[in-house]
Amino acid sequence: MKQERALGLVFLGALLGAWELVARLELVSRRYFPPMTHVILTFLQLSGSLDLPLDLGRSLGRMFGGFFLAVLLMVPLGFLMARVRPAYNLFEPLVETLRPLSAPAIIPVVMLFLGVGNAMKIFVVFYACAFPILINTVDGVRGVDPVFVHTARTYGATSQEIMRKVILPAAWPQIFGGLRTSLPIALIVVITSELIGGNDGLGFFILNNMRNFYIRESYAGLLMVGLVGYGLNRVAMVLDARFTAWDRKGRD
Amino acid sequence: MRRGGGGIRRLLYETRCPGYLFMGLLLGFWEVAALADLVDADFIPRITAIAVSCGELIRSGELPQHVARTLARTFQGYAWGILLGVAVGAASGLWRPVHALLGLTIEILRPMPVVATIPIGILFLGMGNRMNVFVVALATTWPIYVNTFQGVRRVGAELIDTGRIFGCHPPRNIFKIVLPAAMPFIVSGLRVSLAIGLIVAVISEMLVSGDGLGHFIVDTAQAFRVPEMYAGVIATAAVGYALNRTFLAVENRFMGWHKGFTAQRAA
Amino acid sequence: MAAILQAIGLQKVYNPENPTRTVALDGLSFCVDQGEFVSFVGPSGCGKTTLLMTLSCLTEPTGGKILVKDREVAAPPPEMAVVFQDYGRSLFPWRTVLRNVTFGLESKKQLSTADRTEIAMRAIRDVGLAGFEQHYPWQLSGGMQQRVAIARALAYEPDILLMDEPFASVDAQARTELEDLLLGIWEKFSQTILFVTHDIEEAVYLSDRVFVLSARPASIINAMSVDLGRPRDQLATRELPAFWKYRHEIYRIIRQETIRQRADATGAPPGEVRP
Repeated sequence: MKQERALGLVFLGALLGAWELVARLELVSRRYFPPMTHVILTFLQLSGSLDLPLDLGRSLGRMFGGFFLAVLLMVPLGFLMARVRPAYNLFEPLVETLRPLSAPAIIPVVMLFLGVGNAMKIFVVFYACAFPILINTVDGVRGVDPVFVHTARTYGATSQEIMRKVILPAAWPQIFGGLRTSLPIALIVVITSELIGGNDGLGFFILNNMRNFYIRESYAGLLMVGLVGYGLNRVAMVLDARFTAWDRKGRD
Repeated sequence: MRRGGGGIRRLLYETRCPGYLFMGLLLGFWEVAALADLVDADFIPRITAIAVSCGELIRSGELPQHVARTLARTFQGYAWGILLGVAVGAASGLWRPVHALLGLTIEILRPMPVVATIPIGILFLGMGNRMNVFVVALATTWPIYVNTFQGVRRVGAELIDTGRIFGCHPPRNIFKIVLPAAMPFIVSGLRVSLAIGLIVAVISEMLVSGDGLGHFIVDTAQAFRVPEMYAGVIATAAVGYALNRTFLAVENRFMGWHKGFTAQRAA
Repeated sequence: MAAILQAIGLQKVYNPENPTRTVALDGLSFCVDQGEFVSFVGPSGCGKTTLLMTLSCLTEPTGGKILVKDREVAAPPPEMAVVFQDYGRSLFPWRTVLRNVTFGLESKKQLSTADRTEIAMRAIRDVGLAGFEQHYPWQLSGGMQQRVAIARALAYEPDILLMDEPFASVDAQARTELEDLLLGIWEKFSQTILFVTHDIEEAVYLSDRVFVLSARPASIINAMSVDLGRPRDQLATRELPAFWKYRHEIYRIIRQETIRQRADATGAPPGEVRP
């Protein structure tokens, strides 16, 4: 195990070294391909100043804003649809029709209505996260084994107690899966919205700097986005392990 | 003979009628609101207006042209994604040293949103088709890689041993045993990637391009050709839907054995 | 001896207005005295599980009624606890063993948390799982998981224990241990136990009386008293000639019923509705 990890690090190091070398030797024009060290330096500089952190904060704010909005609205709706058949029949056709319409495609439309501010971006993130969260919630709640419910009923649990003590915990792994899936989607969509119709945020930061030929700054912004993506992934993995360790069904 | 009450109950509980009615009501409301000028017609045109412009765009060939361009890019990038994804995924799944070498780097690169690389892509590849295809290729590689890797890893040792008994050794067994056995996973990755590829193509067209659905939507939006813009959005959704259905149909044709197999195992 | 549970003319019809109409129970009546250990056996698919679901009020009967302590019941009564066959699907995987066992006590509001823990720990000890309180179900073997289910029922302190083929999913070795464990608990606490099983020998070994059910629609063909003395022993009791006489008789009846069911089926509508 240890040597495998080392091997991976060696390869990564070699890649970074190659980057540095190619850039310094100007095998690719320096305008396009600054050395890695320069990029990292610029990154640290920008992080120290106000520019990058502000844009980072804006992007994260929009991302989580849309995400939590989706959670707040879609999880209860999912429960409703899963438990009340007419509610399911009412909303399901609409959901299935809107499903092929992905969030980036509606960005220009939303821009017409909401302009290029935070509202547009938060709404688009909300729209993008809504489907995975809703669908996973419905599936999770529907998939709760009826035997669990029977057992609870024989031990005198009320409907409310059953919802709280049985259905919620049993459905949670799948619901959490939906939340987990929608986070990277939220990141992608917020960056996209800032690229297409933005005046601030990380996406705009990268694009704008590139347009003005601040190449190193552009790379630094990309690095920041990469870090956010990686960080989100790690956090999700940790939370996943902690909260759903008991769910052996989905594991291999 | 059922009473009226029973009929409505059945309608509510057993059919999707409430949903279709609901959608119909929403669309009707939209139409009336636009008609009665309750909403700004610049932003929310009548459904009929949208339908009309849809029809015209299709007839004039403008929309099909853009659809074709988007699809072309999507499939070009997708092809690269399949090549790379399957190759690297299979190699990583089969040979531990390969996985050890590449694993860490891939783990770091994968969570990066591909759309964020578009500006850099523009820098290197310009504003033309090459950039679009590159971004699509990058985006489609990841899901295919992950699924191929997992599929290959899970091929049961019994299958490989059986192969060896009948004289099928590595590397021949890669194509005769390992890949076919991993197919269900790979196909799943292919399906997800196709959808992702399409949307990434559209996004890249929104940012840089002279044609394609993404460009069309942005262009018509900026020119305030609003019904056409809606038509473009609907077209995008329709193309995505059609691609998915086509894929499923093809999958059923070739992967039918898998459904029966998993059903039997579960029993 | 007081009759603690009475079933009067129980009827259960599935899909009454469809072509797939199935009569699972038809006029089933019996009564069980307090402290009795009775078993239900019958041909496959005769409706044993339907009977248990109806008795525990998890399913509403189409006709007839159920009396617990001379009181008609329509919802799962607090005097009753159920142990299902598939422990994997009835133990809550997100709760530890201890928390699973205390689940039933959570509805008894007058108990404090400390009380509940104490009662639960006692039950866990009674089934021989002391030391495993903080484990999760998936960490235990099948037999152990079923013990947890039994402990949960025990802690609930029911007067009546319904068990639906509880040892069918457990390996043969663990099964004999669980059978004796159950008898030990029964002797200690004197609950009334209704035990559904397809294993005739198990029924004879455990019970005071064995109800033999007919093929679908289920009714009681025979209520056989089992006079094998107490306490029972896996080796000694099974050597008694009377043991095999009872087994033989029950098997004969069931085999007859199975043949009759197959003969009926060739003329009957297709498909069997499993509850």
